[in-house]
Amino acid sequence: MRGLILAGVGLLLILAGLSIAVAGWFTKSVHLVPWGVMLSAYVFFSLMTAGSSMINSIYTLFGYKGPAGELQNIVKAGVWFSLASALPAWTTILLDLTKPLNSYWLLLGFQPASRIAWMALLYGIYATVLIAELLYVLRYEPAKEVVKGLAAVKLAISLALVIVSLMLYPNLGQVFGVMTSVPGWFGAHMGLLFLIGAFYLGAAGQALFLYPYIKRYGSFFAGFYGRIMIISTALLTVAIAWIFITASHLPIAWVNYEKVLFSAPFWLIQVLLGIMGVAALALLALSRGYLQALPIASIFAIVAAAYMAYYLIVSPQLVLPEVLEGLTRVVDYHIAGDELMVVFGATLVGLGAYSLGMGILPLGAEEKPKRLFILK
Amino acid sequence: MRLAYLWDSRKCIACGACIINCAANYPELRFEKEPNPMWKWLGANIRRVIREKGKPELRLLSCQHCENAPCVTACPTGASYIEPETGLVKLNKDKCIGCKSCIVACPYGARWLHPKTMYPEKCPGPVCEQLIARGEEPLCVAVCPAEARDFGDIDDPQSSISQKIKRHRVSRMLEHLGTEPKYFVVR
Repeated sequence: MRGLILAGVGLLLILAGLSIAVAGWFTKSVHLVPWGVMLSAYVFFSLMTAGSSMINSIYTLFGYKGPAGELQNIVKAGVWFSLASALPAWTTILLDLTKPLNSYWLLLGFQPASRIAWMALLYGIYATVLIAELLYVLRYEPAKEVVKGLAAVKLAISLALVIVSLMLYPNLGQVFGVMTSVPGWFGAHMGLLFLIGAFYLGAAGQALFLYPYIKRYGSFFAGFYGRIMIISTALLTVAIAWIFITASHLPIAWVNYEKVLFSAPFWLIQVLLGIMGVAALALLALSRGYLQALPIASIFAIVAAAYMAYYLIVSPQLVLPEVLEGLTRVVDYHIAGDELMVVFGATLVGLGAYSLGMGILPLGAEEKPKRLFILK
Repeated sequence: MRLAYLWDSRKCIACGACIINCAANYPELRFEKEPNPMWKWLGANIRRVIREKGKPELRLLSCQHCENAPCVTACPTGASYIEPETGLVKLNKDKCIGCKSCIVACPYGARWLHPKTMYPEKCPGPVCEQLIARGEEPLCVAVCPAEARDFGDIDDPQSSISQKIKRHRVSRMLEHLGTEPKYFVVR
């Protein structure tokens, strides 16, 4: 009964989300910043899905199960979470396009010099391998042993997923990093920040959404996610500081980042919640085994990462260099209703997909596939 | 053949005839309240850049038809391309998915988003494309009352534009970015 309710709620959320997002697309208008909040949302969900896949690989590729097989017990939910969190990323990026149905040109007209073309190809591979991994773990994980002859398949899938995930970050970073037109993006810093941000957000996403699964397995996960969160928060702090220090040497980049640095949201959301709050709560979870601290830390991290994605993508486009030296083009950007609809709708699609999976897929440790014919 | 534009800042009287006539490329935007919301400007491919403080300076800015065009490199589908026959940067709207990467990538800010079609627009507009294909001058050059504009093949040493480039002190905007623009400014 609980499964049916979850599945029903999930389906409703997916339908509502798609309707809202598509309605947003139909009412689309010209925005002063070409890559606005929809691109920020896309980056946010991209980091979450790929980060979650990387965390899953600790078990799927490197074979670490935890002292009592805890990681093995949540791997199915972890892989499903990766897939569910990819859906809002793809929804927002597709609906940011003028002609999403022409997307086949991304492959037919593939341009090797374009980072966006590579994103499309990498996402195609990522989706394929992620679905293969999901099918594998759903079908074979309940046996808790590697099926003879399939060990190589499992290794190949997991390895491919880690390689593709690792390629996604620097490539996504360079979608922005190659733009000489936007000094705040130009350089190699975005890829590194995205890599660290992915672990930060992937761990936060899993600790929050997998909570119904991880709470059954004692304090192991308090330490597991607590560790990842502390390390990634520390590295993220360095990466963010690096971005501001780099920008301080580029006058136009600094004009934009200075506004962020000296704004109240940066100190409240990024520093207080996203760095100090997350680190303190993750430390509490790690040192005291206090599992309940994790979901709160995760909410802080998710809010901070959403804000970070916004200021990293939007702020550098607000003041741009003009062709006459010393002049700038200044843009006054406000999030438009159609953009909000797409982002909100896409988020509902992700939540709905996750809920649907919880309802119909055997994600629990001992659950065997029975409901979906393909998994029998 | 490498077609290029030239704008003579000494002759330009800033009358705006080139801009007004460029807007003829988009007659569907003529009566719109905001024909070009991205630039807050007319539905035209030319915009004004003015320095008012200190020594006043003006640039009339449109697509620079770069030989190393960032918009072409950024385009994931090949919709933005350099036409081999003319060397002009063009957009194939059949292939365009509207990702706006070309708009973001252009360091000149020479592309804008059409508010009705939501496709990126740039010089040459649809009318000028036809004129150029017939061997005629684009609208901005044809209507300039001060003869401050020129257009032609820079591979032909006898062409009017090549002669002007040879005779006068010319520069190209944001050359340091390595875009190799084909829009020459006589100073």
